Amino acid sequence: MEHLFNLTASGDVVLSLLVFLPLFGAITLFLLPEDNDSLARSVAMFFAGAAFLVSLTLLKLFEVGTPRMQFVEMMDWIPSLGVKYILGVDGLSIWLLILTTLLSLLVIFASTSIAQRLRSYLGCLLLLETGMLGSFVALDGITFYMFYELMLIPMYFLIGVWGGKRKIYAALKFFIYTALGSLLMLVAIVYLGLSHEQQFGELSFYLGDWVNLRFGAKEELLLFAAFALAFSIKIPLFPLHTWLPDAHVEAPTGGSVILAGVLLKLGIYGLIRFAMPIFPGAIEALAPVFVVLGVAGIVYGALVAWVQTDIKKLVAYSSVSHLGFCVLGLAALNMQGMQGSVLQMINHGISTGALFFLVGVLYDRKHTRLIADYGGLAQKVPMFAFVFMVFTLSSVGLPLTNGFVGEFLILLGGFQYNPVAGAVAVTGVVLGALYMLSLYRRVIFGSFNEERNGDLTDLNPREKLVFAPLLVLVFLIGVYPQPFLNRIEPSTRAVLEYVNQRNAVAPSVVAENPALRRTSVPQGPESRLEVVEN
Amino acid sequence: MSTIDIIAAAPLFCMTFGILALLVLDLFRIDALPFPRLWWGVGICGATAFLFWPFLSMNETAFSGMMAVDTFTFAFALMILGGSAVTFMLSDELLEGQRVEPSADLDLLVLFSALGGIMMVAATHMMLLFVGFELLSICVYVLTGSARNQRASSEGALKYFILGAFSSAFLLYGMALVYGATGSMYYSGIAAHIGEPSMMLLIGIGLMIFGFGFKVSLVPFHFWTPDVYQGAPTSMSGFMAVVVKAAAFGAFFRLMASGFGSVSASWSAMVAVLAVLSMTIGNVIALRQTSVKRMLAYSSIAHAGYAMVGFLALGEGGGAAVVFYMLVYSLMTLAAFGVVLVVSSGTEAQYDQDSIESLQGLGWTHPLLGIAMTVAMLSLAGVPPLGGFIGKFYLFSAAVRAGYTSIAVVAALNSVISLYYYLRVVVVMYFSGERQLSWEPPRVLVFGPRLALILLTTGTLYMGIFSSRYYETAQIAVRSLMQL
Repeated sequence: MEHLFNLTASGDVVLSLLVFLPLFGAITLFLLPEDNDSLARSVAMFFAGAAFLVSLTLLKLFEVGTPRMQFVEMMDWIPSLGVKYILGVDGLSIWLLILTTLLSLLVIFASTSIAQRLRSYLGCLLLLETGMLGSFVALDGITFYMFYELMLIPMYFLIGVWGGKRKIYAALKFFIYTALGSLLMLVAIVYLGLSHEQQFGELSFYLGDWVNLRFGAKEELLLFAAFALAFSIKIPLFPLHTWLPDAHVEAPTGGSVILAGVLLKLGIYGLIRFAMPIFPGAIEALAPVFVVLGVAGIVYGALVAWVQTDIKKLVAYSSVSHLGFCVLGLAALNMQGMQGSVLQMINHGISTGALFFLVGVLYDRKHTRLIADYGGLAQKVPMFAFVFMVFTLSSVGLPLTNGFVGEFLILLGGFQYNPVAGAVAVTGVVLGALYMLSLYRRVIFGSFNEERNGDLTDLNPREKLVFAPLLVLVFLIGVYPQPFLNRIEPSTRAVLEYVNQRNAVAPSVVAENPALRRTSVPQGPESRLEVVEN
Repeated sequence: MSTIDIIAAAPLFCMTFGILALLVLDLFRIDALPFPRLWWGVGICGATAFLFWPFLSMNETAFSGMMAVDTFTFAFALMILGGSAVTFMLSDELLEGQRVEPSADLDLLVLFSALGGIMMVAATHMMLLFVGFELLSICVYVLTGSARNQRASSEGALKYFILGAFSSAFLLYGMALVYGATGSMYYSGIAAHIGEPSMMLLIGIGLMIFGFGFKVSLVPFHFWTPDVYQGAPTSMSGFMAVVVKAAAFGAFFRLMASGFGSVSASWSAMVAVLAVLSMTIGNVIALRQTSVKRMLAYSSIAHAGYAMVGFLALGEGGGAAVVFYMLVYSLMTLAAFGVVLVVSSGTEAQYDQDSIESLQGLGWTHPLLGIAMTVAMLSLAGVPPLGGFIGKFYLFSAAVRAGYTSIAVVAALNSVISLYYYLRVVVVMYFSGERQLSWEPPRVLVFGPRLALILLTTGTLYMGIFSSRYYETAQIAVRSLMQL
């Protein structure tokens, strides 16, 4: 863990630039005249585009093959309480940054369907982007918390102002649910900072200092519970997921895309980044709970998705199921599972983000999201049907699409951890195929209702441009996941090895668990993963 | 008179002189003054604040030990003066709608009560404390009733007066017992002779906590608060919620820290109970309010509870957290009352037009009011990166450090409860469509309220991000207090 958290400032400010570019954009928007929509969109595009370019530059300069934190920035922020402004990026967060900037750019680009108060809508999106990027790069507990909570406000407005019929209920539920978790986490953060003072004589909220803390068993479990609750609500882990369908269904398309694409990932990311290294003992002790809840989420989400009549709700429940996979992979506490979990976060962001965009395309034209209102769209809007098919298959996890690689790794990890858990999770894959394909069949095939949907038009150039990069990514990750896994691997390995090493010092179950020994990957299209492993 | 006495007296003299000058001018035709009358109030507050500057780096007592010339006095005096100045700015040409006959009396009363507040926080002798306490209280009773032809206003004033008289009596009786037990009126003398606390002393301390509990509206001494805040003209409600509370908290803290600090073990349980009760009951009752002013009144009860958490951790940074919290609390609460004031001052507005519905669509029709209110609400709820969050962070840190983790957890859960009613205001302002009321708040704000709201809002944001310097000043302030 030394290489991860024993940091020296790099002297770069590129991360700060990345994080605050969207904020400047939001401020600029605020100063523009209220009713000039095209100007507002151009300005927002400019800042979101600039942030995307910066993140690409970051990717290019990113050094592969090391778990080291890169582009580190360190500054005192509140010296009297030892709060520092520390940013850094590693394999865990680099792809999430790209995902965030890409999806934000696409959402802003696709904002034509927003009829009212476009300027404020774009401002919220940019503010949200700052919050998300900041959360992914912050390495100080308080800085992280600030960014983490900063996301709440714009998301709350996105749902509440531009949402559907039950938007107020959904917005409040979203806010209060998430804040409940994070306020308890704040107390835990404060407790950790003060524990560092007790144990090492200096207040610190820096993650790298926190990993040195040692607690009694009960203390560690309580602190871990506070973190785990906050992140589990965010993920959302079954049975804390009830805010998600409401928020998704009521949010405008852009809000849903960002919510599913990026916000939910912060739960998994937070567990790996904060909870695992600080509380290795607790995570090991509670891993079975997470596995059970994760698997329960996979099956429950899939079953509930199956019976939905509303397309958007179906996709929302499919998120519960997919995030269940991520939890399973993480809690399996082995390389394949972890790596799959991190990759699956990206995959889910791409495919579910795209699916929400697709629902938005339909909704903008027909103002209904009921599956029964569509049917036979293949003949009328072939382009739409094709794009929909690709993302459906990616969501199902068909080989050669991105979904396959992630789910496969997770299942591998899950089987190693516990064959029963793995087996149940596999049924989730089967159910996933069932509900997604049945959705596809009901919407795209069947009889076409000329009277109702006769005026439906195919994707316009702007929409094609939105889907193009996502389509490319689906196949890129599906066919050639190496560049992605290459960057993820060292970081997940470092976290995992650290957890094992800590638990090995204190005698623990993990140390004797044969599942943790490296096993060779079975034959199949994934055999190249061995390269990554070695 | 020694030099220190002159330094100590200068701001008080300046303020008194300003008040008297205003009084004399009022005898003649005050409308003929070159500036609007309200700006005279701001000027007096500004000049006094300037004269308080030397206090920042001093740690002494003046007038043979009766008044502290230290950073703590400086911090609270500035809060009190700032709050009063903002009250003046907000009242600019708005009192008309409040059905208050504009007259110099009100300005004088505001300034007098601010003076009383400063005396309270500077006092290191129980008699001076009491004189300040009464000066402040009596002026505020009158201010509450200043909308003379409104029933609610008169009712509030009477309630406040009767309960306030009780609180003064409690305080005075407590003082007598403390004096009996220790033989000194000076805080330093009390601390020196406190020894092993006797029953008489403990009862005395308890009664004084009751007395202050009324003033800062802690549960169960809070019953007057909602009626008074709702009944009083809105600008005066804001003044009470901020200036009176800051003054009472400052004096309360100085007394507890430098007078009874050494026996904190004997009163901390009581303070803990009051804090938890105030937070919980204040927040829970606020959930059901339909009037913004009543809601803010309950929220101010809850915030008094939060601030009391800092009292539990006197030596662990709790004091500095209280000072800092009162600062951000003042900023955000004044902003909230300011918006209500502007909204209810439309020409057609009824006196009690402060229902939450009256804010409907405000965010879109009046962006400045909307943003000011949103920032205030989110900050009160403790959402980062605003000042209210940092304030809570300091308080929680102090509580956890002093071993009161469970109380920090209760406070955190309370913040979640409070989110519901604070967010409801935001919901009404932004999510519920256009306004449906027949009257509109003034579309172009006059200079005073506009400036005040901009200052308060940027202040709340600024405190959230660059709190460090202010917190360090608060630390110095409290350190000087503990040494007395």
